[in-house]
Amino acid sequence: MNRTAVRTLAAAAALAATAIALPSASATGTPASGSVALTASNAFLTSALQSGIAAVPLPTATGSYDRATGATATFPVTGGNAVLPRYYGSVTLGGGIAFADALTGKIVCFHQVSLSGRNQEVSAVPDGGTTPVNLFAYGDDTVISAIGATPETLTGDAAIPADGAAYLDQALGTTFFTANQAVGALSTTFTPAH
Amino acid sequence: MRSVTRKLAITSAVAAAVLGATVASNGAALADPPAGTTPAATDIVSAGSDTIQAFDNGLSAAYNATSPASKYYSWNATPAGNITPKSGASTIARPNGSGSGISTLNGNTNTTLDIARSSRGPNSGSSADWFIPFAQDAVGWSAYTGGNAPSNLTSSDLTAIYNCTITNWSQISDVAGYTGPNANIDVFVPQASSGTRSFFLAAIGVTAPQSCWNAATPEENEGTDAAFAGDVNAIYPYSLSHYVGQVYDGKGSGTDEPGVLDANRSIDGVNQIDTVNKVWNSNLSLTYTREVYHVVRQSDWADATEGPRLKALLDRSSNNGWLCTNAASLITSYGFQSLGNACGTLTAGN
Repeated sequence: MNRTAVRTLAAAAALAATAIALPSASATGTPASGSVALTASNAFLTSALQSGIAAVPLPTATGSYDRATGATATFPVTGGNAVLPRYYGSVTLGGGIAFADALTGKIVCFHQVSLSGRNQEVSAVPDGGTTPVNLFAYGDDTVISAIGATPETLTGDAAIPADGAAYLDQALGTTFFTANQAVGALSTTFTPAH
Repeated sequence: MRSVTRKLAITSAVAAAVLGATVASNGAALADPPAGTTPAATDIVSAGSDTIQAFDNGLSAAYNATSPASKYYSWNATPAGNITPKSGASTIARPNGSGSGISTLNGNTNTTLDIARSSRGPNSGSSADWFIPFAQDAVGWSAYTGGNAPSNLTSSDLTAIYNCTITNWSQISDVAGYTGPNANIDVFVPQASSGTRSFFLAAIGVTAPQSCWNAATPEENEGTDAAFAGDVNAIYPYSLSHYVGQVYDGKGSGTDEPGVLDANRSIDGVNQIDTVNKVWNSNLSLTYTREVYHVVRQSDWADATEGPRLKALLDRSSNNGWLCTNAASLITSYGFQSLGNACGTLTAGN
């Protein structure tokens, strides 16, 4: 394991240790449920780690790794008014995500995660900020469930939008991220509150 | 005074022209493939919905101006009769409406028809096709200009009118300031294969043809039909995008005009048309808005030869599909509203 990889893993461990759980959303009746799962492919992970960059889900988001598909961050649904097959509204998500760069030593954490039904983008607010950043967008081969289906589903390739790439590079002091950079896959399941 | 939105649309339209769009300068789209043009067997051709045919004629002109490997041609919904969509194709009855276009698509191969235009969404229970949205539309109601209809109707009124519970304007009692005359309402619906018809009836909860409906079923979005002439009691569903395109964007032509009807009215107190910005009102309930689609066979989308031809035109912007990447201004110039990044999303159905 080279020095960059060791420093990257150390940065990731530090991120995980300092993760702060968000309070879960209160609900009446049957609350909205489901999740948004972002899977970073092994190709993306390798490229990122070689550049010293790591990303870690923050509670109440969870992480997992599968040798075949890559690393997955799963964000639980906490609410939202989306009607995904009508490209309407948004889904609010728990947890957050942190990005770190081992070479620059910079870390940026995001919370207030949401999915836009209109733009099919996952955005989040950087800690200390107020303006959401579009971090991930649905790309090629995006398939949505039919109107009226329960749960509503949205699956497809994941990419980093231009504005998200620019923000991350600026925040981390890197030149790694690019517009429409392929990340892996996004998968959403959403059952509205009822 | 035109709004900023309007100015942006105009600016974008100019940009589209710079990109090579060859839509006629007065905005009236060519109907069918241009005279003297027989689409090649390797070109892609569509038929079906009346509501989006004007847009697709404009799309054809703009896309073909970029000299793609496979050009795109759109066959109008009318006039009735047979067409041979492209070289080597079977001769088929010209599909008129979304349902007819989809059934024709599924009853033939890409030797004859590649795409069905649809203003209705997918029916579940089959995964034969991909429905690929490119814009949003709204469907409202129109009535004879200066006739007996009020300027506003509630959703309950529309349901009662179309299920024949209310048959006389004098029975409308929930519209402030309106006292309807004692005159029978003349209820019209578009022809049976119309996606606008099926969407509108579903939106107001009417599931079957009713006894009070006029026997005439005019072509959708055409207030020029003879059935409406002098009929001060006429009421008729209308694609609001198509209406905006006709009234404000110069995209009507021939019989494809509002004629004696106008859709500048309200549902549940919400104006259907934003006359300041000259667009349909995005504050309308989701009940009355819909996506409009190009429908392709799933087997074609995955095919090594046909798939790239379709994807070059219809795929998401992330995969450089021309429509989703370049046509936002073209979409708004026909009265529709952009779907943004969601353009090109796939939904299974038939």
